[in-house]
Amino acid sequence: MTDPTDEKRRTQEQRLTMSYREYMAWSSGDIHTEWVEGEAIVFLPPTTTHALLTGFLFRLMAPFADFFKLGVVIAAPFEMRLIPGRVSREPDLLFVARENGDRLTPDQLEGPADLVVEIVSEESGSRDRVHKYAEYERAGVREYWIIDPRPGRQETDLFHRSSEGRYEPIELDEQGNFHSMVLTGFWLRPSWLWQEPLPDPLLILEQTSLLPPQAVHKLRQAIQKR
Amino acid sequence: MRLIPGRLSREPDILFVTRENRARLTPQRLEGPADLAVEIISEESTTRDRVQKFAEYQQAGVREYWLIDPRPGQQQVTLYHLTDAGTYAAIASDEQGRCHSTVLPGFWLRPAWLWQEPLPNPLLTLLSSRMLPPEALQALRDAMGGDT
Repeated sequence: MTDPTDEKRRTQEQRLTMSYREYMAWSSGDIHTEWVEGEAIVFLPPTTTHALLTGFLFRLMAPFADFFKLGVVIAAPFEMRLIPGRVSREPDLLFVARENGDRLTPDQLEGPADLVVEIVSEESGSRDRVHKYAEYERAGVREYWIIDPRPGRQETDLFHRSSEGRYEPIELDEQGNFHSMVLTGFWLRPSWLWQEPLPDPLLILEQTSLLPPQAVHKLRQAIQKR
Repeated sequence: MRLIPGRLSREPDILFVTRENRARLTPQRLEGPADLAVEIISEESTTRDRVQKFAEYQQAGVREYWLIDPRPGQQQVTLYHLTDAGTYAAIASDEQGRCHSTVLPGFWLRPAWLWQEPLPNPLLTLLSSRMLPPEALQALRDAMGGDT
């Protein structure tokens, strides 16, 4: 579905040199930007696949975190001040556990999220797998999920930070599911992510018993009232 | 959301595209207007959201525009619907204080939800407000193996 009349599309992110103070004054809540070591990075707008996948995961993870009162899930653009004065990132999705809730200030997240999800896009190249991997590992993001939905790839990699501070891959169980160690009780089946259209997150939460019994009970009650 | 090819692209905080207009979603972006756009106002975006985007969305045919201002002392929600004349008219809330969408049929918003701390649980809100449509409830019932 390429549009022959398409005007030249930016194919790469843009980088602008500026201080953190300048970045704060310049950046808007509208677009996805990050600031790393004196450079602002302006990202390409996400593709449709990327946006739908982010929305799907958000609608799966957020109700789960809500019901178990585990913490909050937030979607981009939202600033994670990973290393104050040096690195600010805006992950596609992040989760902050309740016990680290005080890292959430009115303006941003100060310090690492407990869990970060990055969805790989064509132009992101080595950013997610190399740069952010090293940064997140060092700064103490406890779990890092890298999801590559590109045709021919369709890879899901989950990493958990060991007590030595190194990322170690989380292995699939016999049923083909990844179990998060940070969003306790949550698991992910990679095949959900490549379906077109994407499955209904509410049905998945129900069918997989990811939602707690009292939630299912409420759903049943609501259905019976009809 | 590419409103005017080559001239104007915006990234609303939330957008809704109806099934009928699904063809506007190309692999890269939304080509043309969304059916509904939501903008959450922040300190630096007030003029952009209230003036520029208001005019742009109206002209480009975004059928409904929700402006949500959560700033302390403001806390305003206004839903605008595009009239046949092509201009935005504010949707009045009903006697129960609910704002009914005309584009997302059956959906309504109670502004008071938005200012609660912490915010209410969205799934419980959908259930308690009885907004989940019969199709969704039927799908849930099927998913549970019909043992209810």
